[in-house]
Amino acid sequence: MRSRRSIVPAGVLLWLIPQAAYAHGSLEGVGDFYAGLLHPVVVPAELLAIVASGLLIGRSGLSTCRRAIPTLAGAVAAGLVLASKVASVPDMTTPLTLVALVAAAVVTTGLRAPVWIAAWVASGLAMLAGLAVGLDAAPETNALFGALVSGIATLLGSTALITIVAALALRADKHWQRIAAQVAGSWITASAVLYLAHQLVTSTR
Amino acid sequence: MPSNKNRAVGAMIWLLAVSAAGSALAHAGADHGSGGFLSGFTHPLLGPDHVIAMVAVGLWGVFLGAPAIWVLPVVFPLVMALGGAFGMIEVPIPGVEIGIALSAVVLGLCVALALTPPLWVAAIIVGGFAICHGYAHGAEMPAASDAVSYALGFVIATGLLHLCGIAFGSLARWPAGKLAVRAAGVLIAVAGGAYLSGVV
Repeated sequence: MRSRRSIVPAGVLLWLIPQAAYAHGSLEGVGDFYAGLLHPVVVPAELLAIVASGLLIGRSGLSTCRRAIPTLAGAVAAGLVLASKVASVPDMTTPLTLVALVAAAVVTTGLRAPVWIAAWVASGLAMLAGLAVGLDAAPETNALFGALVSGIATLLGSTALITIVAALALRADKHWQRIAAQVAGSWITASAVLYLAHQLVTSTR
Repeated sequence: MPSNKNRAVGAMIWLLAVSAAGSALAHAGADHGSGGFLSGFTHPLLGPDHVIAMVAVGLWGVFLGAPAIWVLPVVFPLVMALGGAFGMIEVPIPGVEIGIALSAVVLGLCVALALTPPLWVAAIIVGGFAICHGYAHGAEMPAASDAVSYALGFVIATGLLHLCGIAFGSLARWPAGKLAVRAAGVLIAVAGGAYLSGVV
């Protein structure tokens, strides 16, 4: 009962918070910490990249998780630092979607590569995803403390999200659970294909 | 320890929160709010011809059994996305609207007659119609501003329609339920015929 009581208010808060989001990276009215924490969840391209990478990492085994999750966290931190050093960060939606496409396509096929290949591929994609998330989630606040808080929160949020997804994929040992992971991979792949085709069309017109 | 029901409630709330965020964020486009998750999510749901065909795919999957019941929901969105890409880049495919209406007729009849062809035959039939449905919707997608959210909403809605079909089709394990599912197939075929003949 207690868990239900805590789930509902948390869900209502999550439902309401994004309504104030009108600009990239800043969730108005929630403070720097929550703006940074929720950024990987409320930005669709970041969410897709992290979920797809998490599914891939999880199904690649525990040893891959041990390597890839810290890799993603390090890459997010590197991306955030890099973003603070450059004048203007390019739109990272397409790179994020590309990472999501590749990771989700591998998950969808259900193919099992040798462990070392799977580990390198998953870690490489996690690094790219992390770097792109870090660059994409660069805090827009001018205050140093606020930017630091927001950046740390983004690091926490993205690491927590990929850990949760990877743990779910890692524990998916029943047949229907593996199918569910493949269906999720298929939906992410299809969404990424549609977006990239859309980008191709809009960039050539 | 939270029960499975609580976990399911939590998961649904989380999904809804993310869904709401899709429409609120102005991340991917220059103009805000005209695209987004809800726009993409409602798009297939507001087209009855699309709805009945997607549900029919799920219903037929139940009659086809494993592995088709899970291969079709995995493969269909991918083929449909390919069709969507064709629609966006304007690859000429004749008779798309006829193909959409025909999909309801054919898939409805497959359900009504409880046909169980080999998997590759079913995959070709469903894949061909997936191209038509994807093409039609893909051609309309460039109007959306937040393309990632739109695409995600569109794909999830289509997948959920499949799941609705599978859920309803699972009634077929009982004799009366099998009759109800086959009757639904007849209704879908009749509705498809109405679209095909221009009555609707």
